[in-house]
Amino acid sequence: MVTIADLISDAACDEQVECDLVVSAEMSVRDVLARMEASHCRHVGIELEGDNGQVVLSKEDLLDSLLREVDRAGERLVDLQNHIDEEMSVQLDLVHENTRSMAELETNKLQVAIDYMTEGLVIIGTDGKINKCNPSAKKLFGLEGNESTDTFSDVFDDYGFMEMLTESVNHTVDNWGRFKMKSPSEAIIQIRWTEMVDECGDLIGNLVMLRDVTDELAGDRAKTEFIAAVTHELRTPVTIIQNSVSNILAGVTGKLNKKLHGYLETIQEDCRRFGVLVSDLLDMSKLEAGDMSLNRQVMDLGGAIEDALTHFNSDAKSKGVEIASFDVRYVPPVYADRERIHQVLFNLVENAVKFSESGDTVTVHCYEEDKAIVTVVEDTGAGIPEIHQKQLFNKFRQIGRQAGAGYKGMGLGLSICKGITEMHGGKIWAESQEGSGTKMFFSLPKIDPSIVLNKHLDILAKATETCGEEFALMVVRFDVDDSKLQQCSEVIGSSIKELLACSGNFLIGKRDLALEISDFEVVFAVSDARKKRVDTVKSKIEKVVKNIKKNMFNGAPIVPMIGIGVYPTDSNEIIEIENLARKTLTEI
Amino acid sequence: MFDFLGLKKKTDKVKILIVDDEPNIVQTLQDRLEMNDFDVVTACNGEEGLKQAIQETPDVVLLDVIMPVMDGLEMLEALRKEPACENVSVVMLTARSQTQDIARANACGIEDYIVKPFDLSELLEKIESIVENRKALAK
Repeated sequence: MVTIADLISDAACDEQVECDLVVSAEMSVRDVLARMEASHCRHVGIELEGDNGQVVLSKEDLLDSLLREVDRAGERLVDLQNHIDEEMSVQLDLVHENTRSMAELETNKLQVAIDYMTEGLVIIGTDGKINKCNPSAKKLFGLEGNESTDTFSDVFDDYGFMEMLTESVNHTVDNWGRFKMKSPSEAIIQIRWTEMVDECGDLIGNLVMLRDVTDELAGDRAKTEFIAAVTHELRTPVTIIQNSVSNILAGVTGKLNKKLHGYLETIQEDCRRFGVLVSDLLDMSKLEAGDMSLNRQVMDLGGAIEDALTHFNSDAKSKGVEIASFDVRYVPPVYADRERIHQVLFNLVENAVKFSESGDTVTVHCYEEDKAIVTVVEDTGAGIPEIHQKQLFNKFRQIGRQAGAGYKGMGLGLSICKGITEMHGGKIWAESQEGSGTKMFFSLPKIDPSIVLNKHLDILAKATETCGEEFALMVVRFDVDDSKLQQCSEVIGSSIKELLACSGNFLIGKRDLALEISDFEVVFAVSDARKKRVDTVKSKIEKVVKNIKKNMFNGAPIVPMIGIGVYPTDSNEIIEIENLARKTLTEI
Repeated sequence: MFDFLGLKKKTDKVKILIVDDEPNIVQTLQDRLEMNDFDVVTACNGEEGLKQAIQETPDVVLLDVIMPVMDGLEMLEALRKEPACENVSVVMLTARSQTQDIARANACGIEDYIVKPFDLSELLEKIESIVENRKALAK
């Protein structure tokens, strides 16, 4: 607040001017101005301290001083603003600096982690070029850790890793990605890869992890070899006991009394259980050592389900449990280890029957997902209490023991099933409610039908080398004018379904295969190409197609065609056989 | 009367060759098969088994894998090269369940790969069904 005293030094001491108003120096300029306004005077006298006379100030002087004050305040305000701006920018710079160094620190940390990790890491861009690799990766390939990515890229290429990776990423169903191969350092390298996607889910590259598993494998192999040796040693004596008991029970040694018969049956049952146990232990050890190898083939999943149900049919019947499958004939073939998938199915169906009571039902069906075929084994039995569901697939879990159903075992079955499905790139899970039954699910990856066909034809071709058999490939095509394809597609679709549903009845051999190869084509691989066999299959196909034609085409301009190629008679190139079958298409 | 010229009608019993190095297994199998009216010949390793197979031309061979001198898989591969034995049905009976073994055996054409221990009654059923299939094919 400006007071009069502040102005006095500047003011002239003018005794001549008459003053209407006299004020003290302590008053503020605003108050004096207000009083001058009220009394209409233009000059004001100010009494100085200690009778030093009087100073006169005009109204303009006062106003002027106020304006100066306002100017000064304005200047101060600008200064303050500048100061604040300056301070702000310093602070902002500091913040930026900090953030940058924090980000850098994080990146550095990550970089250090990547550089020092024992696993080799390679990032491959969508263009198939190597963007980044860490020193461990370089060392695995016999390079110094500080060699350039380009050098590494060349070595990686030279040893065919890139080719193999591209091949695997695009064409195998092993997308969980793990396999081994010899590197230049003679080490066995295990490779795993995963797709990298950005926030939008777009592919930005592949992350490849390389690990030297030479020592690990040697250890694991020793362990599995030991267990394999032990199981062999266990299996032989138990076989002798079992055979002997079986012979005595069958009457090889003459008639038995009832009690002896009973004892021997107990021995037989326990021998059987012992055998299962030994196999389970061996399987478990193989799974743990990553040593279970799969003998993948194109297999009929529906047929395997039927087999499992037939096997347990009498068990179920004697318990009063009804077992059935639904529509499994329509299930497309999968590429899997037949024996192992049988093992999973048998295990699940056996459990379902075991935990069901008289009046319950066990059903098996499949459904297709985007990338998988899911099999469901469902029962209306006791169900699994919620607290046990999480542990269901753990080792040595025997959920049913307390159910008192007389079910004994080590509880390895489901964890083996889990191992087997996961090795196939599938999953296994359960849904259950205590008292109202259990649903067990397992999925197997779906594969492109043309890959299925090629793999299967390769196997058939190999069999022709060892057994000297021929195989035939028949192509059935529902031809239609391109312009009418749209309107006919539904009819063709159901014709193909119908044809596939029937083919189960007339393709006899285990290695035969019927496959929907595209929206308008079905392929039949007949593993035995003797004329009689081929003619039988051909005439059955024709019969079915003619029937479909009569019932389903309803005058639609669809022309069903059939063509045949025989390997190796017509050509010993599989691709040529396919071409031939398509070239020789004639109307049915 | 001695049948010097082999004129007497040959037995129409089904002939089975058991090849296993464990004598107790051979014995129990032989006892049971003979009780069920099969004609049984035996061998204790692959080499002997191959000789027996060529000489006796059995209908079915029950073949172990791990044996001294010549193992079961080697014998199987050699057997398939013998013109006389091309159509012999083979059932593997082994304590080894290695995937590679199964694949190797399957490549040679076998009826079944049974891992020990097995149920003798089930094995008998298997043999009966093989025999029936063979008869059907022969017709």
